[in-house]
Amino acid sequence: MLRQTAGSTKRAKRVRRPTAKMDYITAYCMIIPPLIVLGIFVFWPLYESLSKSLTDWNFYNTTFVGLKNYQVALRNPIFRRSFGNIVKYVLISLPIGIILPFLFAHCVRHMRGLYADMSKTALYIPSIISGVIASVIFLFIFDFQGGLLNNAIRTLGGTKYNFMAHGTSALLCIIFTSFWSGFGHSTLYMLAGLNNIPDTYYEAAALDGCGGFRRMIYITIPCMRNIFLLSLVNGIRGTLMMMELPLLMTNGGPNNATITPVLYIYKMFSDSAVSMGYVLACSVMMMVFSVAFTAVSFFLIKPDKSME
Amino acid sequence: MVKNEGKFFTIFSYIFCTILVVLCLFPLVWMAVSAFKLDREVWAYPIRFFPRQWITKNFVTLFTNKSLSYGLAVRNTLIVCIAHTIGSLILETAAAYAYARLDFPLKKLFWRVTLFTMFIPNIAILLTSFVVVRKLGMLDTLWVLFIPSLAGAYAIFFYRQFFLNIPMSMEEAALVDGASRFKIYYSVFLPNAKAPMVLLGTGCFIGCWNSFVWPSLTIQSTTRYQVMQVIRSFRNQYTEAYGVVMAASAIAAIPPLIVFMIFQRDIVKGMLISGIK
Repeated sequence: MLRQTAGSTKRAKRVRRPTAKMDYITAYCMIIPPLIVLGIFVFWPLYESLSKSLTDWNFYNTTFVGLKNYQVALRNPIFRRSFGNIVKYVLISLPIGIILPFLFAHCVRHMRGLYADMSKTALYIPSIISGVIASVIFLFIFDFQGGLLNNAIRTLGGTKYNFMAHGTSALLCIIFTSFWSGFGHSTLYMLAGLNNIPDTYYEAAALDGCGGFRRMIYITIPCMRNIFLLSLVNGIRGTLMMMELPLLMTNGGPNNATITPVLYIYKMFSDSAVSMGYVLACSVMMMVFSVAFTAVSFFLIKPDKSME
Repeated sequence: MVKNEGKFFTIFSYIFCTILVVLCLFPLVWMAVSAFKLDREVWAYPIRFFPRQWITKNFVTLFTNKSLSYGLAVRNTLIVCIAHTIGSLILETAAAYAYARLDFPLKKLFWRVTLFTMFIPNIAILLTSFVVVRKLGMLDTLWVLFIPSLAGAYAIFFYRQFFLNIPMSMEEAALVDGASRFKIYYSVFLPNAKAPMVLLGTGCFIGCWNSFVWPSLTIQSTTRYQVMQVIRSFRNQYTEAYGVVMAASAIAAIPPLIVFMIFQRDIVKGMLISGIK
């Protein structure tokens, strides 16, 4: 028996030795295509962004201007305003975007069978619908002339309201649309967290005579802390990079009330009068903000993850 | 008492869920129904959910429009999406296998380089990618739509994580039989990685189908337009005829829905598992 295994390992070694050298070749064949793609389409553009943001580049000639572009960007009132808008987006959308999916996931967890499966699937469907289609539908719903919402308001006896023409309401419309398309995703995320809480906690609490409400306060919410924090962080990061819906629904208007930093950059890019170096300086700054935010949030979340 | 409370909560759950599901699906159903309406009925004031008469004129207009062909756009987008999905599945799983199981010089460096790209937000390279692509002469071809995003660092990371959990014993047996590393990847790892491949593959397909910003930056000629670009230009073209735009949107929503319905079980399950990590 022993001899047999020794023999087989020997044979394995004999077979393996040539393959061990082949391993390098196989490995490089496998990793080089992705590295080439990343090199050409991530590192090269990144290098261009970083280097050209220090110049006064307009596709033809470049003059080195140092950090001037960054200074100008920081002083630009629209760029500043776009950050103010981000704060509004975050303050309005994140509380709803975390609490409602959590409550819903809590409800789905208590349901059994086909109905629960079906509602999970149905809720996820908006997440796979493109932003373009979502904007088409919701622009129609919020339309001033004959939109669904205004018709409903008229039916109920109110007066029509031009949602897209006022800053705050346009912002709310965009938030509603993005909430609609993200709801299913965040619900499943919450559900994953809820399913991760051991049932024994609840059984023990039930034995001690804890009601549903107290179980929620003392077990569910503390156990979900990390999930809440992570959705907060992801939500803020996602909002910071938001662009498609504002572009499609309001194009940043009215009077820049819904513009986001990324949309500002995109619009400046299409404006031929603006120096590309300046636009790139804005986008590099966005990268710095995003990376800094990620680093800080990692730092904040990690300690209590390791504690568990 | 506790039992009653439980029952009450369960009933409440069902009601709450039903309301939310109806609210979530309502816009989509409205879109589908509006595609069969006459324009004046779309905007009609006393709201009528279903049309007085179902018409298919909107769909005919869609496919016979002279300046923009919707059918061509659907074909172009399908080609790009399929190429993107298959290409990225192959490149990413192969790289993930190499990083998970093989030893080779500079492995750590390459792995760090790959992971580093995960933290670069899209906007930092979006505009200069356009410049690079223009330098490479890829502008306004279908290639430009999928080649730049063939290797996603997050996907490689995700597959690697999955491969690390596959027990060594499975490949030891194959190694003893003299199988090459490539054969092991192909016949042991790939069949076992069905779950993450379905999750990321469908995500890739749907994301590619839905993409709007990158195509509208790089594709200028209308014969290579992507579906979302066409819908967008329909919206500018038929400002009054909303039925046509609704018809275009309804058709464009179908491929992601089909893909989602086929793999629905795996996607929801995969989301529930991967959500924790």
